[in-house]
Amino acid sequence: MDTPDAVLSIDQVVLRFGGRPVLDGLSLELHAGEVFALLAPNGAGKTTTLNLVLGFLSPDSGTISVCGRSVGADPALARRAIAYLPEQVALIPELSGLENLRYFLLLAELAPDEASLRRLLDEAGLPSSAHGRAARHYSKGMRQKVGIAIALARQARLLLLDEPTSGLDPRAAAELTASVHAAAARGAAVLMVTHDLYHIKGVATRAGFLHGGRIVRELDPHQVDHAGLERQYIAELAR
Amino acid sequence: MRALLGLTLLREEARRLWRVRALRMLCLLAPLLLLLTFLSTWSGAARLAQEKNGFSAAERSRWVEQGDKDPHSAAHFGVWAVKPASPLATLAPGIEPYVGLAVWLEAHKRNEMIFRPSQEAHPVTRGGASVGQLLELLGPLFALLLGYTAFARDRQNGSLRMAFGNGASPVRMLTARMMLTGSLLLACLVLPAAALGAAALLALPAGGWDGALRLAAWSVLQFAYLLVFLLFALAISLRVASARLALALLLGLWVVLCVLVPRGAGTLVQQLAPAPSYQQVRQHTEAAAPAYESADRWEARRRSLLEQAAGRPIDLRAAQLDQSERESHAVFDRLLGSFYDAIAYQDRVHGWLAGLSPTVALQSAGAAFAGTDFHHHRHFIDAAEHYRRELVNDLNGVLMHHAGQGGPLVTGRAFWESVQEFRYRPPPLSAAAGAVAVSLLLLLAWCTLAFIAAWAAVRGGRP
Repeated sequence: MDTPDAVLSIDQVVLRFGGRPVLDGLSLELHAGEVFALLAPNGAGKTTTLNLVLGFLSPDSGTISVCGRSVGADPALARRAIAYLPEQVALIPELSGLENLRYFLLLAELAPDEASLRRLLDEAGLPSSAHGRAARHYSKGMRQKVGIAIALARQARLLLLDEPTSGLDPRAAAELTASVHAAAARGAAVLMVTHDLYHIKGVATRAGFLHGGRIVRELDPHQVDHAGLERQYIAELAR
Repeated sequence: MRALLGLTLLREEARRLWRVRALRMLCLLAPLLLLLTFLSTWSGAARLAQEKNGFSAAERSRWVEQGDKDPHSAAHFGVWAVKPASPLATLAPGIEPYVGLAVWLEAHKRNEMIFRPSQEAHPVTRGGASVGQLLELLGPLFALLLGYTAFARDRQNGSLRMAFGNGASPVRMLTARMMLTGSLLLACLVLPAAALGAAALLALPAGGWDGALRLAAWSVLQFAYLLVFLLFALAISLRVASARLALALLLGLWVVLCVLVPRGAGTLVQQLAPAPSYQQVRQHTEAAAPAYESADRWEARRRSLLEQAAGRPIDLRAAQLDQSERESHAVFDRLLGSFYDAIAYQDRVHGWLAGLSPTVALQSAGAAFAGTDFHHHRHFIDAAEHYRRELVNDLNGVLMHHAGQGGPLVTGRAFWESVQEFRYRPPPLSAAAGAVAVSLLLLLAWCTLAFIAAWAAVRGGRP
């Protein structure tokens, strides 16, 4: 299934926790410019899927590759092509937002100047007055914005977003949508897991329902309206 | 470019650590504690060095001005040999407080060393810790406290997941944090201790010790020792789920490696390589080579010497003294020599037990580098005994050569001045290192093991 130009290729992945299959033959391929929304009820394996792509978990069978690099063989190398925004963004509490951004980018071997760092934080929606404040005083939304700045600054080929609008105010959510569009436009593939159907409609090019450990149905969010999307989501939840 | 990025990352890591108040306090307190410990031992060391200098000078005057007398009487008049303390004994006293500072050299007897600093010390200062002991016991704790949060705290709050998920290389993170915490070990413990050692070298008499070289080697040894614990701390921090669990595991490791095993090693050495008691050995030596022979033994020796002389002129008293003196050498070598060999063997067995704990390796090699272990003590004992034998043999020889020249021989100031003063030359560092090669190799093995543990943890590490 792994086509040469795929940014992300998940092929027949099986993962069991305590004998119970969480993912059971999951397959997904993402290409440059695609934004895929993975929809599923809580506990269905959405975040687990992201953990597998990041190499934080190893599948019992199946393969995952990012830009042709096998995650199983060298997860650290595969992650160099990934930017990740977790649901709960954890920053270094003693450092300011600006310092956190600089620090996480340095860990990824990037060293933008201070003006660029401030611009990234501004674009992510963090007020200038908060740039220099210690992150331990940040709200969840502010941490999320720094996380967005970190993920987008890396200009990675694959963007993984775990409930990205969680904790964001509507304006910041709109800015995130714009940033995701921009990332897709420059050729990144985006895999997001979310419950935010409104956001999906605005940002995703593809959406898939995860059920029983595999994607059971895929649709084009632009082909259905909000109500239709919600109906299908609820129907999938009830399966 | 990568090097520049690495330096910038180090700066950011340093900023991150510096913002942790508890760690900042720890880094300020550690050198202060070393300084206070050093000062508590300093006055005693300086006073002792001054007293030794004065005593050695007075002793030479006493010898030169002993007046006219028979040379063998001068051998009984005796002379003190004072052991020049290594200036680094102020950092790592080793066995110095428990062994004597000087030995009385005289005919027929091989005296034990007396004036033990532990006996001379004021009751309040007895049992006080040294800089070396502080590094040996509390240094690892400092290293563990530096290392245990390195990854576990980030894992606990989720920032490690954030970092790994955004392309951070775990190896790069480990390298940066290892370099930074290693630098803190250097800056807060090793360099301050080395500076205190340098102060001791400048202020105390060199006494023929290659002090600077020994201080450099001692400092490297301390760093290697602390590095073992830092790497173990990083490895465990990389592997466990929470900072609290990492701390609990590392404290357990500290208790085992730094407290239990070193104490057990001392007991194990006594079991594996028992040595006779010194009192027993002295009793056997006194019996086998008495300072004053019985009348029968003396008469038998006189007859034998007369037969050997076969009519040639002979100073019978001088020949008897010379012969009994030389016979006692063999007894001393056999009984005391084998006792000292047994102690040296215990030291070697102790060195092998460094395989059980890096602290044992440090105890063994640290005292050797500071010049305060048994190897150095014995080197002095042997040098003093060698001098005693030459002195007494020479004095007896003068008497024997006078035979047939008529009248009793009396020597005076000019002769006493011609007798070489006892000058001790401590062994070079290379000899000290050779004696503890096993401990050094085992410490190196501990470093390698700790490095492999950290490397394996980071290779398989997950947030």
